[in-house]
Amino acid sequence: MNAILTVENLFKQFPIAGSKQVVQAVNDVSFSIQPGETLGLVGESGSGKTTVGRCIIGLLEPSAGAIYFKGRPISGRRGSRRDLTGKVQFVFQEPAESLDPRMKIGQSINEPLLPMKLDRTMRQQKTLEAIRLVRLDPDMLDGYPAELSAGQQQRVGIARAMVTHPELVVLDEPTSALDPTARAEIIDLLQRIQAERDTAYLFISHDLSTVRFISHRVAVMYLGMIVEQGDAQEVFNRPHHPYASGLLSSVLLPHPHLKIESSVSLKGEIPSPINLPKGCFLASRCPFVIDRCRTQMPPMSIVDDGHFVHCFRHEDVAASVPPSDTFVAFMREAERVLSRRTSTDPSTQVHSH
Amino acid sequence: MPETSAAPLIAVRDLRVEFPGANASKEVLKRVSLTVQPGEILGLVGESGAGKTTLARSILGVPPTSGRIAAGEVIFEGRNILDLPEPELRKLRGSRLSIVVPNPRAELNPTMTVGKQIAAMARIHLGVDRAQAARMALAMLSDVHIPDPQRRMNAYPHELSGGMAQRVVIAMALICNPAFIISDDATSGLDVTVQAQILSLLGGLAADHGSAMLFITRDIGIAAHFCDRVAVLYSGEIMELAPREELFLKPAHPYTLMLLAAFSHSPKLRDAWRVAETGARQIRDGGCSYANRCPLAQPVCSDGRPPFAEIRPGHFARCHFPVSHE
Repeated sequence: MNAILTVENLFKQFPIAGSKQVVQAVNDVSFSIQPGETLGLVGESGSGKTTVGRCIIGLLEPSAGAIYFKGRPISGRRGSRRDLTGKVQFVFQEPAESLDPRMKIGQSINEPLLPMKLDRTMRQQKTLEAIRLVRLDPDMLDGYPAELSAGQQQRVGIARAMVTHPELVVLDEPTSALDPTARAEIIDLLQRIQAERDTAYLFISHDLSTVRFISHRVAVMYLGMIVEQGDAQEVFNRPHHPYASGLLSSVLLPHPHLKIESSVSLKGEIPSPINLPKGCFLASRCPFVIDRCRTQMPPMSIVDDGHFVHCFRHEDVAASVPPSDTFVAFMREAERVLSRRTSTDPSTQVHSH
Repeated sequence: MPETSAAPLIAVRDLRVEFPGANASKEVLKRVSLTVQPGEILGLVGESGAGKTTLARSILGVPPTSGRIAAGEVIFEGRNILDLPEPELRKLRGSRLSIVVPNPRAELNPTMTVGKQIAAMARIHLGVDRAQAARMALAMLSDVHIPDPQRRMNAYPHELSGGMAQRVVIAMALICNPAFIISDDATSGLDVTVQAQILSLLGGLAADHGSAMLFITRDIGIAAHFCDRVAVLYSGEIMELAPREELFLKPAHPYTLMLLAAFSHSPKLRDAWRVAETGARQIRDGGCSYANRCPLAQPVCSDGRPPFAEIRPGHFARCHFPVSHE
């Protein structure tokens, strides 16, 4: 299959003013996304996941490496984003900040269509289609962002991204500023749109629970590097990288008895990306560390078809806890607990208006 | 779980807080009552706008700007905090009662080293001398697992990461060994691995010092693993209160079930526990405040406020038709 997006050996450095040092935000990142696929990009603050997203949408120019959209370069000297109008869109974390408060909702949704040489009627039609797609009342097109709840604002953000029928959408923490109910609705919406339109998503998030259920594949970033990448279920059930394992064990599922087991408990914090250590970036925090890790960067090992990891001891890490699908166990439990009803059968309930 | 019959450390009774408006004032907390036992961690969950922060601040006698405590009392160590004169109250806050808030950098003084800020709490509240306060601050910094505490004493807030600054704020909150700590979403905005460390730190310190805690959070996952009992706040009212396992395994209030369903990743369960906005009933004064969103609502729900009834020992729900798990 032909990938929608291919990222090859991407590097991004930021100079530090008044110093010769640089921040190594992204270090040799490679991945691809197929049509209709969601790649979850997870990691803590400072892992470089947002920088990767920004390079893809063209807000940042990579320091080295290449980004291809359907096989054509879109970054660097050889690259051009000219034919890309409307094909790659994005949704940011803070819905309120990404909408112009003085612009009507309709204008905001309509804006990405302006460079597309469509007539006014066509644009109006597409705007209307987009607001219906996100299940908002078309009457809201004449309103302003401040009149909407955070969840509704994020729906507008999604309508604005989807109005051009993009083939790829970069979603940078689209739900982390929202309440649980609004978050769940946004996730439903994104999945429904993907099923209808075969849109590919790069879903950047630190919410592993959501990533587990929305992603087909997942890439785990640490200090600018993808340390493990593979099928979402496989990586979550049997992580091979100690960082992936430790990160998963920090997830608190809303069930008092379900906890993701791990032999790694991460102490301390992500080190500074200014002076990167020589060997494995996790060596200082890793319980599996051996001498080699401190001097040598572990090469990429293939665990399985499409499952890669950078760790000398990945087999030991994977074998240290029995594989288990705690997320699915949680879902089964939720079904058990939440399917009980009172003697009052809601299907026969009388609606009083 | 502490015995509920034991004397509570803190008791909030019928607390009402209003925000005055142009025509009518808005009731943000509607007769909220809760108790926390010595050594207990009580979780308080709810969505934005439920009144969580208003409750936290009102318990300390400082409702948010423009808020007004209309009725109720907060009994702590035998005295009603809401009746205390400001100087008395100020003595209590920070020494016997303290609060940890999110966005720690905004709480710290940017022009003062963190060591001095922590020590200042001990000097003001415990009356110890400068050298003793500095020693206590240093010990506290190492208690909150800050690496190289000697050096960090002289650091300014901007030199710290978010997780580190949160630890400093916790150190300030705990240095006087308070009997009661309120954590108001203190771990939101932190990464999960840092959050895990901060939670185990807070839990450990509270246990070591025998402090009780009101742990306010939007993340019900934290409540499921960290709290002894959990209260669910909706629209200024406590809708359900139960021991942790009961609440998560036998939730009774339809709002609690809706919240749990939002985390279930199952669209089917979510649909089962929510009412489409267009089908929402009108909410009437005096009725259940959740009636307009409740899939189990009956005519009676719009007419009468349900009592906060004990449906099983220690498990309370404010609902005419609590969900039964028998």
